[in-house]
Amino acid sequence: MRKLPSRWIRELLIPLLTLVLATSCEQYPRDPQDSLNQIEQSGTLHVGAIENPPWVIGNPPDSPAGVEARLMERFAGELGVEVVWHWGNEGKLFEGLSRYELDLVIGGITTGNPWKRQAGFTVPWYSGHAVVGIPHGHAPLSSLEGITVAVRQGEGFSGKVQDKGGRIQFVKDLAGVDNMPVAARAWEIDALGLENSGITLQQFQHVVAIPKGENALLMRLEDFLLANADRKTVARLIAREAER
Amino acid sequence: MSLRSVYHLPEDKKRLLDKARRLEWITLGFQISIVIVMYLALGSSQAMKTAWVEDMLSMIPPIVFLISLRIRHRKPDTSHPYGYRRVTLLAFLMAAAAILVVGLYLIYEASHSLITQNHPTLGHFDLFGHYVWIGWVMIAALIYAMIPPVILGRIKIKIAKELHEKTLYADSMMNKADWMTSGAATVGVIGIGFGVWWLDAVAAIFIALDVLKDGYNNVKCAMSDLMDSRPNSVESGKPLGIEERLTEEVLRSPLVENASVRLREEGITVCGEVFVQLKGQGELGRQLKELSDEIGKSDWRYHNLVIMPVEKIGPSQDQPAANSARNKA
Repeated sequence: MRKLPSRWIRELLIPLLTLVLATSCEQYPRDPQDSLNQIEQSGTLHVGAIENPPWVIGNPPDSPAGVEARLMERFAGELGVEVVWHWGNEGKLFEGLSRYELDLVIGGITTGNPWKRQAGFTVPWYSGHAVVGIPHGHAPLSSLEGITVAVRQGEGFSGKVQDKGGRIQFVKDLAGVDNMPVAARAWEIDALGLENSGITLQQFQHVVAIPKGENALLMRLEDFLLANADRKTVARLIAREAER
Repeated sequence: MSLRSVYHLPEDKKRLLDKARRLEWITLGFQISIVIVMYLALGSSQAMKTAWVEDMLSMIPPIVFLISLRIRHRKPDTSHPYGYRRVTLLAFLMAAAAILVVGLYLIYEASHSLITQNHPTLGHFDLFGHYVWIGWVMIAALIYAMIPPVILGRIKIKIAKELHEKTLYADSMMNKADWMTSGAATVGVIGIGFGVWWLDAVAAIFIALDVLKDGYNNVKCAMSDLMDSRPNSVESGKPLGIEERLTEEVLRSPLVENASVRLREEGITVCGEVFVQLKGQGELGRQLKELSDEIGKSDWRYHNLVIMPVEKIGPSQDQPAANSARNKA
């Protein structure tokens, strides 16, 4: 038993100390495919952009606008590199990401995204909600039981409204809805000049997609997002994009 | 019907068994805490997930041990005239099977993540408002998961050998599998940090082979015990050779001319038959053989019935007339 301390030092402490020294000297964690170093060496950040307002707005061949496009430009600025934009749909861009052809993919990607097995996701940097909005002066809603809600067809909110006992009225344009509760994302409710009824339909945890396992890039990007994408900044960016 | 007598463990062994029971409760308690801690730190590392599942499966041996402990102390009754002690063998088989399953699972998971080239993505973790690399949190959780099995496993293995308690032995083997898997996962997470994505899968495969070997040997031993193998060592599974010792002892009696024994295990106890040729036994041996041949003809299922002359017929040899099984009209 008296031998134990020296054995512990040999078998546990020394490797641990070596590890701490090794990790404090250089980049840790590292990228298996060396993404971050290559970005810095080549001076280019290859970002896949999926059109999805207000996160990514625009059309090829223009550079995208939108909240996430702005953020990624700032991130590139912090790294001292230029962004090279690659427009595409999810299938194409996530395939490119899984082959390490792209460094990042943006476009309102949330944690529920079905491509998550092919990619790595950052920690959620913004949490958005789908809510029911009501016109100013409308009687407050305590529940959706028996209430008809205007839903833009094709966004998938009808199920959530029905789950809460509401009835659906599909519309093409939410701006044309008159004196009726509306289901939409919270920022859109604000942009439409409606009031948030406090009834939440769904939560969205927004993430940025990176190539799987590129942990140095991931840590760097998360550091950036945690420092720069606070709720206030994001809200300001959304408001600016919504005005366009 | 004749019931087998109740077996009482010697005082010192009883104390050991009590200690074993307490240790198994402690093991269960720690195991639950480990499963919770690991769950909270679970990232996308395959080795970490595997270690977590392994920690859940490793609750099986202590659970079956504690259940078997309740059942094996039941007195023999008319439905189980030989008693309930062989439940221990069943518990041992289940514990051994759990180890085998863990081994197979580890191999499957590790080779799966190698084949699919799964690069674990590990970013920041919100540790009470401080963002740190989740790898450090995982390593801390894994080191916590290693400590109880190392300590408890070492204590249990000693008791298991002394008590001839194979379920407990299997459980300490499971503890070994536990801390080794956690160790492999730690190496794996450190490897991920250095950009070596395949290290955790490779480490897991090496551990898995060891676990698989333990599982296979234990299942083999448990099945062989259930099939009435000779009493064998808890550790190596080799015959203990107590038959020879017992025969010598029987032969030392002045009453005995010649003797032969056959023994099997019933959990921590050993039972069987001692055949003796008594000095001056006269016609007894031949008479019993005749009786045996005769009753053997009455039902084709009778085989090798052992006839035991006793002083007086009662429900059991040392439990006079407690049950109603005396009418031998």
